[in-house]
Amino acid sequence: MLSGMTNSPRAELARLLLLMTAGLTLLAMFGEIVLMGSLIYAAIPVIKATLLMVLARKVAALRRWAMITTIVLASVSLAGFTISNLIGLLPQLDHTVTLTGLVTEAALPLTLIVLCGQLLAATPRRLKVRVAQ
Amino acid sequence: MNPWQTFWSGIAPDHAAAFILTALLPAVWWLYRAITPPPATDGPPPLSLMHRWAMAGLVVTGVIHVALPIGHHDNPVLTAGFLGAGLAYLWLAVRVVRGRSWRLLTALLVVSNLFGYLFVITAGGEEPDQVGILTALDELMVLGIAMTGPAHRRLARAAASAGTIAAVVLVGLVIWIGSFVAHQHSDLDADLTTAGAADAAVEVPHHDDDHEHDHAARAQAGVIMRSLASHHPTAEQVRAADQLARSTESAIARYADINVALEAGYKPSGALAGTEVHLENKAYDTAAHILDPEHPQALVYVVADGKAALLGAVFRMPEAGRPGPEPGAAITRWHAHNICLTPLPPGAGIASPFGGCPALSVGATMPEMMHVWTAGNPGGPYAESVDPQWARAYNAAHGTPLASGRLGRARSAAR
Repeated sequence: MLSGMTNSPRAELARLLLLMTAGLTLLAMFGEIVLMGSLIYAAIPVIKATLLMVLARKVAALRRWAMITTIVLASVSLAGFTISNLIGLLPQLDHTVTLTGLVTEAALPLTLIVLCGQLLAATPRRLKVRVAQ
Repeated sequence: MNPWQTFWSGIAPDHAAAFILTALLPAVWWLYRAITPPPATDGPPPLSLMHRWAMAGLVVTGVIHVALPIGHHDNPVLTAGFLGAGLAYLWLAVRVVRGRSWRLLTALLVVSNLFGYLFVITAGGEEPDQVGILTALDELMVLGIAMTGPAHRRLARAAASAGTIAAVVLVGLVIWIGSFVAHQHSDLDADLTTAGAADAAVEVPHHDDDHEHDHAARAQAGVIMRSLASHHPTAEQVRAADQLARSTESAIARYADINVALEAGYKPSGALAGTEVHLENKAYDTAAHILDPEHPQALVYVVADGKAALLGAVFRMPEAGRPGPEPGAAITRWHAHNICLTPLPPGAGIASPFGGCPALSVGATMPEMMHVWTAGNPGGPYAESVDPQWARAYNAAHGTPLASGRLGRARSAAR
């Protein structure tokens, strides 16, 4: 087996969902670049998409740090979705809940948290063995 | 509009039955599991997680396609296409369960189906809606699973990863473009025919009775619109829309010189140059000035080459979620923008067709607004936008001088 590959279907599914999230992040970037008319707004989305691609590879290789980072990132996404809904309670603003938004902003990060949580529980820590000099 | 109405406005009426049937699938699955005996212990091994997701994705897409003709039976070729694609997806789901080969056939079917969908929406055959976009997203996931096979070559695996990301971005971009094309075409759906309207010789916009696709920005990708109660404005409604356009034109004529507008309290809120420079007066964001031609919430100018020309006004509701009055029914339609606010760097974008915002941002929907163009916009007084080329030519002919840096100073002072 090559590095970055695993036989765990759960890890493979998490990898696929992370790659799709990277695609969704890059797509959303265009809306801001066009509206603001500046490529500066590509910086954060490109960094996040790159991180997601690295995580996809490392989660598939059953790296614990990648699973933990994925859980943190997905939790931040879920928090953003929750904050958006709370902002909608302000009188001047509203928040539109869409069918696709529910899937990509709520169900997708939630699934990633569950998958990586299960993977984390099933993946043993790597013990550092000190070799006596 | 309450959240449920907004949510439902993203679903085309002819796709609603397919959506409801698909939403019932988990309950059907639960019922099936409850009434069938558990599998024998010496039976075939259970499906792996990836195969279960592939099967679920194929069944969802298959059921949606098979159910689409319930509300979407106006075209026999399209109906046959929906049924054929749906049955093919369900057949592939059965192959997944039976352990037969399915990946190549699935990839071919998904790619051809996505091409067909993108062709239909970009050719104006159909406005992308939430059910169509969700189906595309499901197909992209199934395609990703099909490409995540037991690859042993590093290059093939990397190509599959890049292909998954590229497919999501490309399909999303084309749907986005398709939704904006539909939005522009909607200007022609319910345009005001001004000739003779004031003299009661009102010409009601022509509509084909067999083609009542209500443009309601159902992709909900940056623009949110309410569904129409009727596509056919009455003569009285056409007259009311014409009256509003005329009242607005005469009321804001005093702001033809942009300097007068600045002195009256209008301040630039976004771009300082271009064909749609908005100047806002937040003092008019009150219930007392709803659809008040004397006190529009914003004015739109074309600003270029040291000159500025007034193009029209923007009426905006004081609160988000509160529907604006529509004296001209289908002609005077309001819209809202669902935007994404980012802190790093500070800015705003619009929500993508897949419902997402850029990284580290939060989504919000602004109050409803409506443009009324008063400078003779070729698209009509209630078009969503102006043709930039026409606007520049208009500015060259009718623009008044604007001192360099004046708008920038006004915006800084407003902050």
